[in-house]
Amino acid sequence: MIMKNIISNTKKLLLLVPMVTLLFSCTEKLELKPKQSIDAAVALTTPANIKATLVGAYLDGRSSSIFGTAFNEYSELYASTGDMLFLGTYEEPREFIEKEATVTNGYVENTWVQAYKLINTCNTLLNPETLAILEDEDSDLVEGEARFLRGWTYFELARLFGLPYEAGAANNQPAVPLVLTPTKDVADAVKVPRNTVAECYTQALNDLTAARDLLHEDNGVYASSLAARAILARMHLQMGNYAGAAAEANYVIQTGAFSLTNTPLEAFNNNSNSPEDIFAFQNNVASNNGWLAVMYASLNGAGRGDYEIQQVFLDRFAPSDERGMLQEDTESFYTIANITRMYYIGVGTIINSNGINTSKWGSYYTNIPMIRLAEMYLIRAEANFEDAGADVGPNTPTQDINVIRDRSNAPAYVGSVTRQQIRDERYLELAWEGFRLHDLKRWKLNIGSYAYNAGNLILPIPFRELEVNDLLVQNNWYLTGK
Amino acid sequence: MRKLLLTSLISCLLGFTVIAQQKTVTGVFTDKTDGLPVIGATVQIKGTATGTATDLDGKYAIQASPGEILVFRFIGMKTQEFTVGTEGVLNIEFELDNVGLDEVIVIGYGSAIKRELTGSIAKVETKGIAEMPTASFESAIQGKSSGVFIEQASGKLGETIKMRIRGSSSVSANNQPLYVVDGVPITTENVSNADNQPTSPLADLAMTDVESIQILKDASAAAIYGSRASNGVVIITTKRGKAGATKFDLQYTAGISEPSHLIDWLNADQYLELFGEAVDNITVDGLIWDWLTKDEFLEYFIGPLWDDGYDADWQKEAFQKGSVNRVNLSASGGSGNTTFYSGVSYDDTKGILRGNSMTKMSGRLNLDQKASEKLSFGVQMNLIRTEMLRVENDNAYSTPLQLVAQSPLTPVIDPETGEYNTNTIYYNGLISLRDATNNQTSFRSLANFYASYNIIKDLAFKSEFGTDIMDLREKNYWGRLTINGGPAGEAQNRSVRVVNYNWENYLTYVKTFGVHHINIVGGMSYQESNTTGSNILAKGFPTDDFQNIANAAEATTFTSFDFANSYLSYFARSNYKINEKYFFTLSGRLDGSSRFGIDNRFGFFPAASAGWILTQEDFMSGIKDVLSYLKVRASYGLTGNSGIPDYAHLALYTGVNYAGRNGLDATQLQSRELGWENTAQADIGLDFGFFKNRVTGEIDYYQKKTTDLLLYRTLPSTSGFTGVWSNVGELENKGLEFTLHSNNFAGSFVWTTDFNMSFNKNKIIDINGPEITPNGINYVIEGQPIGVFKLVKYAGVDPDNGDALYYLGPDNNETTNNFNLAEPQIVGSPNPDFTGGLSNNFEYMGFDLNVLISFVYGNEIFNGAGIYQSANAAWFDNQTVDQMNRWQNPGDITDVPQARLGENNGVKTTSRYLYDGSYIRIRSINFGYNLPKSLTTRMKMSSVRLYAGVQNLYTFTNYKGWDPEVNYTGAGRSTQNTNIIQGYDFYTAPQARTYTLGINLSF
Repeated sequence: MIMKNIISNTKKLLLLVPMVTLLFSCTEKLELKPKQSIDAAVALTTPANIKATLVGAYLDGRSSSIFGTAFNEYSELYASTGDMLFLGTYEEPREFIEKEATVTNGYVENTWVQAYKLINTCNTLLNPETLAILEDEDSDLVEGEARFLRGWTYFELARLFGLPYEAGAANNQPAVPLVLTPTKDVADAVKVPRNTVAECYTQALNDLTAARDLLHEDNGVYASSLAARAILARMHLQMGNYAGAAAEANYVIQTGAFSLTNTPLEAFNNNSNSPEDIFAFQNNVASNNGWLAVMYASLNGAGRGDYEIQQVFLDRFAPSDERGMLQEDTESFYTIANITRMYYIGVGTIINSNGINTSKWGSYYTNIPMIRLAEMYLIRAEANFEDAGADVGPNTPTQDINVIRDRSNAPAYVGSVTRQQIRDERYLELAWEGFRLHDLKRWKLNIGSYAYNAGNLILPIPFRELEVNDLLVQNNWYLTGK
Repeated sequence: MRKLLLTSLISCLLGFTVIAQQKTVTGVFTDKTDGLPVIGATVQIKGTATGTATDLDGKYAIQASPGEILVFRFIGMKTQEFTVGTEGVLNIEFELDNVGLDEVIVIGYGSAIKRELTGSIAKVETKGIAEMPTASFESAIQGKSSGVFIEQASGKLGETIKMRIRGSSSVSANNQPLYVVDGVPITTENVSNADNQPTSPLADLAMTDVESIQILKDASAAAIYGSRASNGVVIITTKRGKAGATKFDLQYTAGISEPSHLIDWLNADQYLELFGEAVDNITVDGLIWDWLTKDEFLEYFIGPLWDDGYDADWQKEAFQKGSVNRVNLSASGGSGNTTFYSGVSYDDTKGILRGNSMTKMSGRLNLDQKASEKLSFGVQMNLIRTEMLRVENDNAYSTPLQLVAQSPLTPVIDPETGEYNTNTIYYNGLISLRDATNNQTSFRSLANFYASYNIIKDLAFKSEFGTDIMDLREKNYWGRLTINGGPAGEAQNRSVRVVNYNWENYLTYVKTFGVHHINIVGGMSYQESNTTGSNILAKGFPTDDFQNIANAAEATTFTSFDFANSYLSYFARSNYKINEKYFFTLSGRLDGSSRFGIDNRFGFFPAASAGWILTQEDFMSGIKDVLSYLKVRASYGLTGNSGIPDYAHLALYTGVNYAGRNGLDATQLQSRELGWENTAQADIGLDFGFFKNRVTGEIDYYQKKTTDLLLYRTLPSTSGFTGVWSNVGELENKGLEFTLHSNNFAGSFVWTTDFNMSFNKNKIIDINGPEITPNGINYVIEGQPIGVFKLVKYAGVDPDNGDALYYLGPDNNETTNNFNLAEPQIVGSPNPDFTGGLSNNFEYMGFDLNVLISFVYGNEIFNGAGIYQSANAAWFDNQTVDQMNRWQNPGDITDVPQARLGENNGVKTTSRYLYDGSYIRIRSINFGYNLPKSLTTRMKMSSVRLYAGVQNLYTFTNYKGWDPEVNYTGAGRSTQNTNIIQGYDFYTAPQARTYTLGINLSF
């Protein structure tokens, strides 16, 4: 009887076996693959994916933490001594305009992080193993564009984080670390020390020169050989290499690939490149990368108007100069489509209406012109003026300056332009586009009471980065206040 | 029916009583254990004040009518009730009341008697929580249990509430406990829009359905939930029916609410005085106009109406009169082999913040069927609809509380247009409150099906399949005049579906051999959670009358999400009991998760514990009158944490687009060996009862050490990545918990007191890298508790010139007025030294009163908005009145620097804005009255209860902000940032003070 019970119970227990074993075989259920991302190993193995990664690099570059906004802000806020005021509540821009940044400034940290994200994307593409997967033609294209973006980024970082480049000097002052190999694994994420300004400039020149030679002159909205030349011209000017600057600027102008827009305002707020754009970061309604408009604009549905232009700045323009005209009859419903002049009285509902705002950055959804033909004329004019040799190109500096002035209906200069006129023209034409700080430093001019090479006019190495990388050394002013 | 109720109520109020034939009932009280008479025990006729007490011989005599109920009470003894019949003598034998010791506690995969527990499990008093007007159940149990720290983020409805059981056990992974409702680990992660603060899926649960809440605190209790148990486990069961006549329960609660505290802001005169002075003190050359007069200057910034004599109270505009309306109807019962509980509830809460409300509808059916002696099965189903009207996140101009930044000189309404004033310093958020809608609706279905089969006498098999399906939709529209919606309106449609299912199969074997008793559970579970959804934002609407995406001109954002995680687990536990004195538990769980790298996919989590009831031993019998119950417990075990993002171990590229072309963007580095975070926890506990269990309590000491921290380890960002998920570092929590329950009075007047207090000390031991800070305020620093405040220390004001001063560094008490030269130092911690609660419960003649006080001590709060609100008029934001104490003349001694417009004089993120966050809060006072049985019977009711309550009546605190119970949870924050950023206030709404009235009818 007992035995029978045991047998019967055992039988019942046996019933359980399939129930339980059924469940012991679903380990593969733990193999869940992401559905909206791909594994890195897959990303860099096909030509299509490698080219797509290059597209991603432009997106990195457009970020508001670097080319998309911050590079512009650093220049205009640090350079401002009253022509523009900051009226917002954010602590970060206030620190820049007061020229007393703190090492924990979030904008600076974001710039550092985002710039090196872009550099790493470029390094990944420039890895010989990656380039080897591509056909020759594609390989040149990918390498050229990646080197363009990397070189340009190092140039911007070197002049923001390092003391000014001094022509003819050793330039051993620290800039930023040069990282030239990709981070494939966490083991590659090593500590790196800062390189000198000279080393960074050399790297940037090498990259941009390589880009110039690898790329075609026309590459749609992407980096072209001419865009590389334009940045080279900008770099040479910064370095006081006037002959080099004139040569590259002249080359770009003389190709005839670009032409000035009819009016100065037409060069801005475009959904596609204007004839004047040598390179612009592309924006559309779905990308909404509009921090420039957030800070500069004060329109219906666009902008806080935090960066307010002052009348003293507009007074610098000749009355007929379209670049300095103010639209006063603005209405609260106005968007950039209703704005016809370069400046307008703000109507934004966010904050800071009723001030003067620039029309250059009036929409969240339009392209960000980064290199305009007008700059090439200004570079050629200045470089020819400063260089002792014969003028490069068909125009005299005066003629080049007048090309720019004519377009804006500003009275042409008669006789030879002066150095001051060339420099003023640069300010009037390129205002609020991220040039001013670097120009003032280049010209060794004081900013307010600060000398061009004052330690507080460069950015601090972000606190975050110092904490994780003890090979980095902070800029002196942030350690000593001197 | 209603008429009957009404007449009954009236008769009750008129004190109408029934005279019936009375007789004398007599008898003797004895103690069952020793047969001795009990002196001073009370006898009372239920529902009346009539009563008496036993004399020195334990004798009593009372006049009562047949049918009346006599209640016999004595402290420490079980209360007994007898209906008066024909007999005249009623002798009573009292039994020791093991207050709560025989209570059934639901543990994972089974239940246990409290007395036999070897782990640390708190059963939370659920009585009365259905009467509480709180939006989520966590707030209803705040302060009620030791070792459990609950903090509401703000007074906004339905937002995530922080619960820490025995401290934070992780830096980067989730620190919230695992919630298991009727056996199913439910979805608790926020899935709402990352642009706003997180909402809590737990708010969906209807509190009336809750039968019990258990909190598993130590490793022994929690290890059965293995990989997700490090933060403790909250087990919730819902009500089940009992065989018998169908019992109906109808409850209605109504209430009003208001902010529990307001801040004093400058009025117009003070504002003009302070800002006028600030303009005069502008010193920065060339940056601010020298060419405007002071009046022009104020007009320019504050607007044309600045000198028209307005004195607006913007703070008032942020709030509204809140309200609560809640109706619950439930029916339960059963016959033969079928029992059921069903409940419907409707809960409409209007928040104290303008535009904030929450409406909840819930229906539940719990059905249990006994098919045969061997087979039973059942189902629990809960359908819920929760609709929230939300306000923007705290860091937005359009959120109600940022209205306080407006100047009192600018009127709320523009006198010219009669509409909201648009000539304000900042965007007038009232426009958003008028023209924007932010609607979040979720449908939730919680269902659990089970079947249980007794294979042989002692062996049962149970299979449970549970689902938690959450469908959340957000529909937002920002009108064309709002800050977000210009120029032509913007709409958002966002939908998320979380399908979470869980299948468990386990065997339970129970056997007694003489004095030995074993209970073994073993089985497996598989859980998978899939989250999918889409998000569309579109703009450009013909007019604000059109608010649907279909009417938009263009889509600005369109995206989808699709992610999943799964867990495969095997678990076993055995409880072994000898002679009702010695108890042992061994448990283990093997857990695998998709969230980890293939090399480290499985983790094993064992635990062991033992308990010994000393008072069962003969050698203790001598002091039994004093020490009536004593048990020692000890446990040790491992638990895990896997609360990290899905796919954290993979190197990923995500799809992007630029200029119409598709691109790829690297987002994450690979972490092949990513595995569990392990917490080893040791617990020693003592359960005691004194004076025939008149005073009972528990003391626990624990030590929790978490190693292999799942840390988002900081990398040099020159690598292109800011961090990587790794198993590095360790931290610990040590703590002490006390729980006391005291029966102060029994008899016709009953008074009980519950007290709990917890000390937890959190310490980061190793993070294998630099300090971690998400905001430059809260830090993770080795040797310090998580989230510690590291700031430049404010040194007050230089009496000579009004400059703000800062201490140079931690070891340097010299001061400087140059902020950059001052080195940040540790100035406080958001983690309290201790927390607790005190609950007093009184009952008298059908009346009851409960007063719950909770307290938090020793933590600091940083007001992130201080640089705007209390900034000695550095910018035009209205200021707190204490800023009137600014430095004015040489020699002034104050801690408010000289007012200088546009200049950063002390308006930096420093300890100036750090405050003591300790508080004592009268969390709830609830008063109730149960109508006498004699009346309810006449009303054909089994019980009628009227109640009234007030929540958050008063808070004692030195904190200067709205509310010391605060945490700006931020929008779109990572788990790590949520863990570290604590005690941070940023225009964060205070808790509501709510007054309620209610009635509960059972019939």
